[in-house]
Amino acid sequence: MRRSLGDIVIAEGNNELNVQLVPITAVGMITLYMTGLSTEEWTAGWYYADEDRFRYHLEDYQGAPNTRWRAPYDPCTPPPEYPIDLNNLIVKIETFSNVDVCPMTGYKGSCKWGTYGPFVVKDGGIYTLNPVTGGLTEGGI
Amino acid sequence: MGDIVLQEGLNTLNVQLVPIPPPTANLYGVVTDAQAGSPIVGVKVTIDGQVTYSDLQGAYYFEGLEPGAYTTTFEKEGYETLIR
Repeated sequence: MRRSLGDIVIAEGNNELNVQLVPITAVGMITLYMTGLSTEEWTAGWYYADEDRFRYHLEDYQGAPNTRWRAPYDPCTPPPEYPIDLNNLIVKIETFSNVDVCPMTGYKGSCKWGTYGPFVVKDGGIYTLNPVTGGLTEGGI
Repeated sequence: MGDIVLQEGLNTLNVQLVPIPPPTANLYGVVTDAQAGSPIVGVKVTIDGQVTYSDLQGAYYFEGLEPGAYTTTFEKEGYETLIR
């Protein structure tokens, strides 16, 4: 992709030319698994910089209508109508457990693990995120 | 250096001309990200066959150019190429 703004004329002596380059935004979809935690449910929130907000993929799932929660071994995907920025993926992880204590709250139940990224990912790629280490690896679980 | 006085007959006057250096121009600037506003390092800047790369501050510099019209190209992976 090129932008042409015409020639420049350079005069004798010093000439200053400051420019701005426009980043190429690549959008797409990925499939994200979660590992490293024992939990009953989990969900991924997807960050959209142009809106400065996180979105969740809400759908009917295992009898629960319009829910963002998934079983621990099922993946999360971005909302189909909102592709993500593949060059700057930022995602937040939330879990729910009746067994494990959330290190952030000291209680069982809902646990917000914070945000991870930015990552560079491939459109259609499958990845696994470990909220404990913050590492994102290619492939599922 | 004053006038010369020619005498009758043959007169020799050898002279030296001092060359005027051709005018030169320098071009410098900073390359930044249009969205983040941060400097971009490693941008390939090309002008009249000369190539340089922006440094950690996004700065680039050419010197010894002839004044005139040029096409300058700024290239970096992940960004639109800019031609000025």
